[in-house]
Amino acid sequence: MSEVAVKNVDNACETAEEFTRVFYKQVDNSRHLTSKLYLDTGLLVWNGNGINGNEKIQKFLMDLPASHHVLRTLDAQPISENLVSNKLTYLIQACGDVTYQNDDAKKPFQQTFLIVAVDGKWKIASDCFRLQVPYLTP
Amino acid sequence: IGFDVSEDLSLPPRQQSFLVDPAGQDLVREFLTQYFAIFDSESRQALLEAYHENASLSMASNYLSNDSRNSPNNRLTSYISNSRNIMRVTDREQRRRYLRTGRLQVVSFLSDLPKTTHDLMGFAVDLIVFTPAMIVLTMNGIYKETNTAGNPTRSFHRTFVIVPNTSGGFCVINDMLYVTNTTKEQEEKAFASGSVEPTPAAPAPGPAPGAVPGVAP
Repeated sequence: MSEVAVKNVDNACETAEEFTRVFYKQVDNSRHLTSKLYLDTGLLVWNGNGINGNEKIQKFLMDLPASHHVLRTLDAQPISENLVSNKLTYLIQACGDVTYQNDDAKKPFQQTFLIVAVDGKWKIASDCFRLQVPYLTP
Repeated sequence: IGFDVSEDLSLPPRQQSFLVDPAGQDLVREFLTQYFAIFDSESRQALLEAYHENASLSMASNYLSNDSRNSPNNRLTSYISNSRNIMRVTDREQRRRYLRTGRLQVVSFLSDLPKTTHDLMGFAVDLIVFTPAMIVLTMNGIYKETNTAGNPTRSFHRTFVIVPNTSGGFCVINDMLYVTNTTKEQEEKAFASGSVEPTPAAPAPGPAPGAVPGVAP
């Protein structure tokens, strides 16, 4: 790997740490501000339900019960820049446990983020959240 | 006398898959069917063609929290020893080393993972990017280890970034894999479609030994 590519790997990991710290804090404690983290045209896929655009994402998130996320596993990779119109793009997988209001059960979850650097800020282009449950629909 | 503060706090119903563009459905189905037919076969060498020459792969693994089951079946040693969980792997040099780069390194890493049969029908698949230059899809599902004593089931979450290759097909350029134990609920529903039952316990009609295991269309 070139020196630039190596730096980019380091940076992907360090950005993922910072990003997830901010993201879960927002979702759990200041959810009314969370949609600012998404691109205007961002996509949230929540357990297979797709929500397009950060206004709709905000509304969807506000309708979810209050949550508490605990992150336990994190991984990140840079995505080749020529794939995303030369914007710096990172792929992040975050896994852990979430509890929702009025339900003490810790639910394991896995979440994939594509984040893009736009005008000096990290924005979520796509966010895919899945609870770890069986999905086969009979 | 109470207060009228009741709200519906239930979660939205889950869907098995999401497609950002319905036009991607056939491609995704075909790609995953072919990919996992090779992945679940005797040799994963043929996956070389499924990866971009500059592909990257990383795997992270962790136990479920709150899991009191402690049988040998639940041990994830073969994954955890290679896990790139950056919450634990904090050294830059190590983080670089745990990221496999280049088609050869990627496929050699995959070849060393336990032999598997995936429950393809039970996959949750989300197609989150579908453009001519790039496809991103995530999978959630379970597989069975076929060469490990007790044939334990594992749960995984995986993301593929896929790009067109030079021969008109598609290849994976980023692969990110997370492996953990299955929950009890997942185990009860495992291979529920009955179409991909790998255990040799019942002599059901199936592919001959050594042949590529049947993957449901």
